[in-house]
Order: sequence, then structure tokens, then C-alpha cells
Amino acid sequence: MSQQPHGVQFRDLQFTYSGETLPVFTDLNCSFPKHKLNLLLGPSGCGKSTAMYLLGGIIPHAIEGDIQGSIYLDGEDIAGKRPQELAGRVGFVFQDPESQFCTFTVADEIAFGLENINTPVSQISRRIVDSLAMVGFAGSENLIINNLSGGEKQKIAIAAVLAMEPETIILDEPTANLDPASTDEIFGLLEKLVREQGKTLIVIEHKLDGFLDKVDHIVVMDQNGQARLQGGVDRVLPRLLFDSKFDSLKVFLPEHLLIVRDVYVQHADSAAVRDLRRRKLDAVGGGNLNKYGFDLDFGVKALTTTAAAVGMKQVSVDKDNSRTANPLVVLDGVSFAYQKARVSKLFGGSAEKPVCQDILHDLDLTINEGDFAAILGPNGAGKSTLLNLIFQIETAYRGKISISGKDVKSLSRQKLYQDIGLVFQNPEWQFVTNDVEQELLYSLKKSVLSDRLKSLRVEEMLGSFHLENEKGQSPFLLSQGQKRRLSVAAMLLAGQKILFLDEPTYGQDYQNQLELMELMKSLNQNGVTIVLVTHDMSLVADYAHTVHLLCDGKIRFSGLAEDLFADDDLIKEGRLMRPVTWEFSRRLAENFPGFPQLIGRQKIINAFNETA
Amino acid sequence: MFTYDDRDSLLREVNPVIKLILIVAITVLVSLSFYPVLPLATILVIVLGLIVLGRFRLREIVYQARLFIFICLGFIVLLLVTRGLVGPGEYRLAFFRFEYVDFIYAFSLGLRIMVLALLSLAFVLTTDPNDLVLSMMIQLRLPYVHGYAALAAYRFIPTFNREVQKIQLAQTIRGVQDDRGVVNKLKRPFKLFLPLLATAIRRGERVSMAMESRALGAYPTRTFYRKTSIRKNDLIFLIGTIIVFAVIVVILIKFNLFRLNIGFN
Repeated sequence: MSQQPHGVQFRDLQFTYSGETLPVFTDLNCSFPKHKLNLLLGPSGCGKSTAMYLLGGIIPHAIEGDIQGSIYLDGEDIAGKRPQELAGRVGFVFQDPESQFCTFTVADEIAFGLENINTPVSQISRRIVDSLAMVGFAGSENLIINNLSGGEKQKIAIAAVLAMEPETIILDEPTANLDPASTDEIFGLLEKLVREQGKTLIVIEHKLDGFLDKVDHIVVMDQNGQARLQGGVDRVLPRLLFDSKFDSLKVFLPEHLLIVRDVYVQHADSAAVRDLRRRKLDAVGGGNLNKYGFDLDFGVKALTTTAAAVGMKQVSVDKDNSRTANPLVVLDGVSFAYQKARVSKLFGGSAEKPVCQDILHDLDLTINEGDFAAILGPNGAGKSTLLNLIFQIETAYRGKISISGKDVKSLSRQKLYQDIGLVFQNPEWQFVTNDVEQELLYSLKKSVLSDRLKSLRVEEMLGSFHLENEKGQSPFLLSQGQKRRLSVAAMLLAGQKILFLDEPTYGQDYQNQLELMELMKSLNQNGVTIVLVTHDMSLVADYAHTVHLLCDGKIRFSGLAEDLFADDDLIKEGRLMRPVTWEFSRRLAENFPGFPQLIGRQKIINAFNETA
Repeated sequence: MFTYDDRDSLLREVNPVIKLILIVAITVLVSLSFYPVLPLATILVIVLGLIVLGRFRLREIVYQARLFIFICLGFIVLLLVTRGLVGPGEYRLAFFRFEYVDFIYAFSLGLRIMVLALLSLAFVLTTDPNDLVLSMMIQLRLPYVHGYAALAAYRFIPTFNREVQKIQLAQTIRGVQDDRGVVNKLKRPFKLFLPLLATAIRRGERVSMAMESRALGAYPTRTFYRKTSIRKNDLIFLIGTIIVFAVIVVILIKFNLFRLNIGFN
């Protein structure tokens, strides 16, 4: 056995989940050096979470399977150890802040792990104070966890792990459910833990803007569970960008680097681009590019040289104005307030909110047929109330809401829901049968089609959503992606003209978010109107066409997303964050006269290619 | 249903195990009492206790117990009506005929329900679930892995409620409400139950992974940072309550209003 003194090493690791025949990976070999901020990259399903569960001992104990090969932690083979045995050495922070707590207050939660390893009570208080100070949340001992924000909860989860003083901490998409500001805070905290506390961190993360420059070491896994590239950022990044050998690797990078990489790959046939990339790659050997050299300016330069190499002409891209202006959902002067403060009034004393204050006030909103619209706004602006009104769960005291020209008040809920659908965060919630085929047939129960035609339609739908082989299965046993496809297929069969998505990314990992949004995009291309209600800027940037900004119960802006993000006042008022792609696009425009102000990665790549 | 109301009070400080012992004792005593006077006195004691030792207002208690007040009164009326319709008896009201024992029967049954409801209400309102689990583990020696599993499950009740509403809405939008016929109506709770169960199982797995990775069950014993214990005040509360009930029983015996009722009547 070779001596491995530092950090974590996977040696010839192979793992098969029990009940499965194919291993998740065979011969996984990679290492994560000690006292470094390590990033584990790879496409969904490549086995990165599995590898981390193995390191944390969660596999093969909480989840069973067959494990071969070795996992070295500071030279000791720990493969197959129970998570409890590793608890003081390897800590695990999970993606979902809601489901990793088991007590009510911050102090109890942090004490929990320490109590389990029989830490003397006299030391526990000190460790609680210390770990809270480390995560920058000192003095929060007596707070109730359920009342904290997502970012604060994730800090407590990190503090709870830190208190047990493990040297190695694994974080599996720790910011998946966080807003941009909290995400930045967590990234800063992770860097501090490495630099100041000397921890070894292994992070699975998809949001890399603002994170990659903090990372020391990257391991890139491919679809087959092999570690294809590893090393410092200055070694791995140039290879991902310039080495055509790695073009087929699907990885996430900061947005502007993804754009550069996509453009390179799309022009891989051009001899000039090939030559350009080879020269860049050679230059790396000379140490000309360090990890701080991959900022927005680098991206602009890279695209400029590529444009020159492929002979790009003057840019003139028209904004997409091809949508119809056929109003589908119209809110006209809608006002809403809760009629009375409910329980608080009865209990006397503490009615904090004044009774009858308007939540929505004289609100006008029009959503056109075929649009991909987003309703944006800070927390408490009235987004949920707006949805409740459209779905007739609450009623406005003034104003009119109409869908396809019909006043919603004149429609029964059943009638209303034939036209409008709601996509939930969890696709399972809408399942009403225990069989995939029945689930789809259920959507057609009101239809006048003959039974034979109905099953034909269902067959067709199963085919186009790649669910043929799951026909007789229970919807609840499908994979997350299959569940999502089934739920969308069911909605499509029901023939709803408008789909609303209420904070669709909350509680979803990145891959699921992506899959859902791509499905929505294809529905939209088939004529379904999509309305996103969200505070997730990257969703808006990548998918939305028109944007409606809701502030203090009123629509402050309706128009193209690009125009909204150009307005500093609106950004401030709506507590928005400008997508990185907006700034990148602005800098591109400085180099390419006539390049339009765009947001969203795909739009920029398309605009670039159309002119090349 | 009832939920814990976090406010500083003497009742909150009492060890949950002591409260449980008293609840069992009072339930047995009240259930065996033939006359409705003891249940009535018990109701007064609980309400007074909640006001004085629990710092609740009368209207809060009434509000929380409103459903049970309704059930209890309804029960008494129902019993009186059924008894009055069939029974012979010396008291007449319209076409009802009552015996003396009919009133005793109806009121003591109805008030017993009220006592049970109020005891549970008082317990839940004044007991921090965390303290309850701690005292089960420390005083009653419940294995701590089970204790924490219960606590983790309890944490999900609010999420659970939200989820039920979302699932109902999702299924309404799919048209579950339009299904007619008795069979479909009977199937409806089942339709709600499946997604709820599926979500709960997955969440349970995630929580147990998180708890095990923080060494739950690593050793047969563990330390407790926050402990519940049985202190002098707990014993004073226990003995004090026993004395109060003893005095009530003695007074009732004196006025011939106390009779144990073992078996059915």
C-alpha cells in the first residue's frame, strides 16, 4: 500500500448501488490536497455526490452498495467506515438547509453533534460560541432555526459541522437554495475557513461566478465517472478552454467563460480558431496565465480574437420582436388587502400590521399570448398574493382580472383551471394515480376523444417525453427528471394555455432546475404562455423575454429584461442583482460596434454566431 | 391542533414527566367519578392553573379549546335528547322525560371529555417539545436515537401543513374535485396521502443522513448540553396538585357528591 500523507485520495475506487448492476464509477482516481479549497466539477449523474457520500461514510451505511478500492484520509484507508466513526474527521454540509436539522434552537443544533461524541458539557458552550463566531453569526445561540433565512440556516449547518472540529468538510451544492447575496457570503466564508482555519474543503458547486477565483484545486469528472482533469485552477481552466481534447467534457464555469468555451467549440472546425487555441495553451506552459487572468476582460479579448480569426463582420442583430401582442392575462386596477388581521386581533395586543393595508394597490399587468414572462420582485412585494388572485384563492376587492377576455370571477375554479396551470417545485404533488399511463390518461378524462384516440395521444406523449419504458410504473418511483417530464406531459395533455411557475428553482439542485427550464422553453416554442414568478436573476436572464417588476404592490416596470437591467434605479428599488452576462455583453459592445445589450448566455452566443 | 406557546411561566418550567404523571392520575380519577362535580372542579382547577401558573388569558384558553367546548356541549345535549326520548322519568320538558340520573350521566360524560381536552391543551401549550423529548430520554431512559428521530419528525409538522395545502391545490388544478361518485370521493384522501408520504420518506432519509454524519448513535451514551431534571419545584408542583385534588375530594365526600364508579352503568 502506498503511503499517502496529505488530504484525501481516491484509489481505484469502484461503487455499485445495491440492486443495480452497473457501477457508478470504476477506477476513480483523484486527490484533494490538504488545507485547500477543492472544487469537484462534473455533469449531473457522473457520481460526484456518490463519491462524497463514500468519503463521508454515508455510503455504504445509510445507503447500501458494493464498494471496492480505497479512500485515503491522511494516509489511512477509511473506505467503508461508518459516518459516526468519521464524524470528528469529516464533516458534511448538505444542499437543503431545511432537512439537516433535528432541534429547534441554534445552540441545541450545534450542541447535537458534540453531545453525540460525548464532549464534556463544560466544553460545549465554548465550542458553540467559537463556531458561531467562525461563520460570522455570533450571538445567535437562542434564535429559533425555523425563523432564519436560507443563508442563515446554511451558516448554522456549517457551524454545527465546524463545532465537531473535522479537518475535512464536504459541501454538496451548499448555495443551491440561496439568493445571490447569501451565496456570496457563503463563498466568502468557505474561503476564510481554508485560509484562516486551515480546513480542507471539498465543494460541489454549480454557481461559479464569484467562487472560482477562491478555489485552489479542481477535479473534473466526466459522464462515465472518471476524473479526467485535476490540478490547480491555472492548470485546469486553460485546458477546459483551449484544449480540444476536453471539449466534450460538460462542466459549469463562470458565465463569461462558458460563452467563450461554447464559441470555441462551435468554431472548432475553423483552422484559425484551432491555431488560436493551441497558441494560448502553449502560452500557459510559459506561465503567462494565472488564475486571476480569467476575468471579464479575458473573455472580451478571447471573443475579439476569435471574431478576427473567423472573420466576423459588423454586428447588427435585431431584438426579438416577433412575439404577438395578444393580451391573454389582464389585471386592471387590482387592489387587495386582507380584510382583518386574523388571530392576532383575537389575542389582543400585538397586531403588528395595520389592519386593511393594501398588499396590491391599483395594479395593472398584461401578459401576452405566447410570451415567456417573468414576474420579479423583492420578498414581500406581493408576488404570492398576485398568484393567489389569479388562481382565485383570494379575491381582489377592487379591479378586474381576465383570462382570454373572460372575467375570472365569472368562471368556476374548475373552468379556470382548464386554462391555467401551476408548475410546482415538487412534481410529485400533482400526481393523482399510481401508474404513469393512468396519470396521463387522467388529464384527458374531460376530453371528448374516443378511448382509442386517448390512448394514442398518451402513447405519443410517452414517446416524446422519453417515458415509454416507464409506462406501468408508479410515478413516485421515477427519477427526479422523469417525474418532472411526466408532470409536464400531463399538463400538456390537459391543454392548459398558460403555465405559472412559482419559485420553480427552490429546493431543486442545479440539474433539475435546468431540466425544468428547458422543458418550459420547448413548451413555450409550442405556443404555451409561460409566467415565471421568481427572484432568481439567472433564470430571468437565460429564459424570460418580458419582465414585470413588482414593488410595494405595484408593477414598477414592464418590458424587455435587457431594459430592466439597464436601469440603476429599478435595480435598487427591486433589490435585483444584475446578471454577469449583462456586464459582459456591455463590454462586448465596446469592442464590437453594434453588438446589442443582451442578457443570458445563450442569447450572447447566438448573437455572436449569427454575425460570424 | 394545539401547538406549544413559548412564554416564560412556572408551568413551562415543570418537568414534562411530572406533568404526564399528573395527567394520567387526574384522567383516571375523573373517569371513575360518578358525579359531574369532580370533572367540573377539575376544569376550574386546570383553567385557573393555566391563568395563574401558565400566564394565559381566559379568552386565549377559550379560543384554543373552542372546538372541544362545542363538542362537549353538543355531546351533553345529544345524550339528554336520546335519554329523554326513550326514558321514563319524573322530570318533563315538552315530550322529553328525564330521570335524575340522566342528567348526572350526560353531564359527567360531557365534562370528562372537556377535562381530557383541557389536560392535553394545557400540556401542549406549556411544554417545549425539546424538553419533552429530553425528559423522555433522561428521566424515562428512552434510547436517544429514537428520541432525536421523534424530534426531527416533529420539526416537520409546519412544513407538512404547507405541503398538504400545496398538494390540494395541485390536485384541484388537475381536476380531482370534479371527480364524481362515491368511490372517487373515498379515494381522494388516498390521492393526497401518496405524494405526502413519498415526500416525507425522502425527507426522512435526508435528515437521518445528516444526523448520522454528525455522529448520532456513535456511542451507547451521549452527553447532554441542556438537561431536564426533577427539581424541588417539580416535586412541590406534584405534591401541591395532589393536595388540591385531595381537598376537593374530601369536600365532595363531605357533601356526598363523590362516588367512584367502577364498571359500566
